[in-house]
Amino acid sequence: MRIELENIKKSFRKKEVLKGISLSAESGTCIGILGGNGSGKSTLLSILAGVQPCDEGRFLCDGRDLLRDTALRGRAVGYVPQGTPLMEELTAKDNLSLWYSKDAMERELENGVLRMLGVDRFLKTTVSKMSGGMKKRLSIGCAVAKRPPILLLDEPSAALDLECKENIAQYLTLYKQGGGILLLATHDAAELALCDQWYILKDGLSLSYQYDGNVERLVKSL
Amino acid sequence: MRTYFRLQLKRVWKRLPLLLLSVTVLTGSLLLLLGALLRSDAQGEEKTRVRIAVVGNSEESYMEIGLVALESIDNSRFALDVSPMSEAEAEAALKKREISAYVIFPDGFIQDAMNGKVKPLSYVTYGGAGGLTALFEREITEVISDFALYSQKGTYGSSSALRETGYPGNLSERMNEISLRYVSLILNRPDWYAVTELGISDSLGFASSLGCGFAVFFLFLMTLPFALLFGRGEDSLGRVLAAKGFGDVRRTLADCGALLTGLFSVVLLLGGLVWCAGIFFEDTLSFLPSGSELFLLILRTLPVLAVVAAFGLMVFSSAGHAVGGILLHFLLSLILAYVSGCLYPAYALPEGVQILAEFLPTGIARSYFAACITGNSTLLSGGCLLVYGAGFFAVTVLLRRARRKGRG
Repeated sequence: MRIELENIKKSFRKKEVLKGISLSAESGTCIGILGGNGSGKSTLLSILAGVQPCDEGRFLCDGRDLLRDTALRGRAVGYVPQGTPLMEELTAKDNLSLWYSKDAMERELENGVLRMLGVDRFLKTTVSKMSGGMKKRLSIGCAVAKRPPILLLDEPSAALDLECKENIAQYLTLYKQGGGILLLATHDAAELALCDQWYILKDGLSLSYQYDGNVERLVKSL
Repeated sequence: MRTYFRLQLKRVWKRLPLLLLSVTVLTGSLLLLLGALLRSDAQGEEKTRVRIAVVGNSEESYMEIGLVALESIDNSRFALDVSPMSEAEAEAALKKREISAYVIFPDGFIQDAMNGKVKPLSYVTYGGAGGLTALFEREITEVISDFALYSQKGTYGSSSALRETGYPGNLSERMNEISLRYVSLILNRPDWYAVTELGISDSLGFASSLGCGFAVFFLFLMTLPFALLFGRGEDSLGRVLAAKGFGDVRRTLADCGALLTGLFSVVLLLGGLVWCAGIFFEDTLSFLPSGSELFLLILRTLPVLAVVAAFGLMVFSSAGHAVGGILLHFLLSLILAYVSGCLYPAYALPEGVQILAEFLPTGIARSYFAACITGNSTLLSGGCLLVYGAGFFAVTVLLRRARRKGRG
């Protein structure tokens, strides 16, 4: 499988946030989207997820434009936004039931992605009583319900403890190894290390970047 | 969509115990307030007996009959308290506001009336510029004029004519009978009440009208505990749902349905409580409708609840955060309720506001409830409510869409 972003443009009123983003990736690749605050990382991911429309451009998956083919996009793309896309008053199980059929949920809890993310351990906990890490793992668990081959994550490790970051990183590595394509908007050094390609969003354009673990150099480039 | 609706309903239900507790306290207070209003209304009716002094020869037999007749006009609410006095006494009493007015019967009034002539009566009052007392005074003045000048003139004129033509027998007795029949059939007419309360609401009494208004305000406030469920905190979930093809219209429809179902269950439970209260406190809450009437009334709250739910969603979706949503909702509900006469009789507000009140959702909801109680047609007001509900729903969808497509 191959994805291609072709000349994605987006303006908010007169401000041109994305001036033509283009990149491509093959199966089993993780792409790190970097950039300062307000550079358009979240906007780019939400466009690819279909949350908001772009002014111009295409998001091709094996030649089919996911921005137009909403049914295919619903199946092919999983999206974890920055906030908590969960129902706070309900348990993890209730939240999962929105995305999983009963059988699928049982299967994944027994020996699947939900087990891998450790969601089975807090299945009956109410979301409002969960830690940030538990919420994030549950959010990822919800996003990958239909086993989408493309996963978009907007700063998945923000404000999480080390153990949780490690848990999520392990899962993302497995996801990548399973042939999935990850698009990760991040500032986190550990997550950057997971990536195979890096792009810096600056002045509405995407610049290819070679991350070598030198955070100081990266900061200067942003 | 079904699963989302079920989960939203579950969330709504999770908030019900707290809501029920606060609502029960509010309903109890409301019922007590209504009971107190009804009692004070009834007591007020006693107090509104207008005292009028009569200056003139009250010992004259026809005059005496006239005074008794006047005192029995509408013996339930606006009965006159007529006292014979001298002019000096009456003037002093009027200055002390012990009486509302005094009527001077000119010398030879009865004799002239019996001859079919009119000698105008003089009314002396302190003439309040406005308010109910002035209204009563005008009404009473007209009643006395009608009674004494037109009807009695005819009656006494006929009596004279009969005497002159040598009509035998119990003429005086028959005259009295005619006079009293006139009082009981013509003056003591049942629509007197409606006339005096015009301008309050659709022929409803003051307490019932205010009760309808309070109920509307109360229903609007009932959505407050759901601010967190439908506010901006749900943006992330909305984004993910939209990404999966579950758009704003379907999401808002499910939210609205869940909220409406939740509100209706609260009303249903409250109805049950009210019904129980009506059984246990039969004397105090005698004004409550019977079981089947109450159930029908609860069912008929649905159009109002639909507007309330859609309005709540719209306000919560427009606010920056839950606390802001609660404050905004409360203020808007308060303003709407006040302006449309839910908390205070609309007739006391400027004319422009009174016209506006008829078009506001709270005003229409109040009229709808009033029509439900009086048995008038609810088609127009119910239809208007549903149009308002659809409007609020559409605005909610647009607000959510605009926010989803905004930056971030």
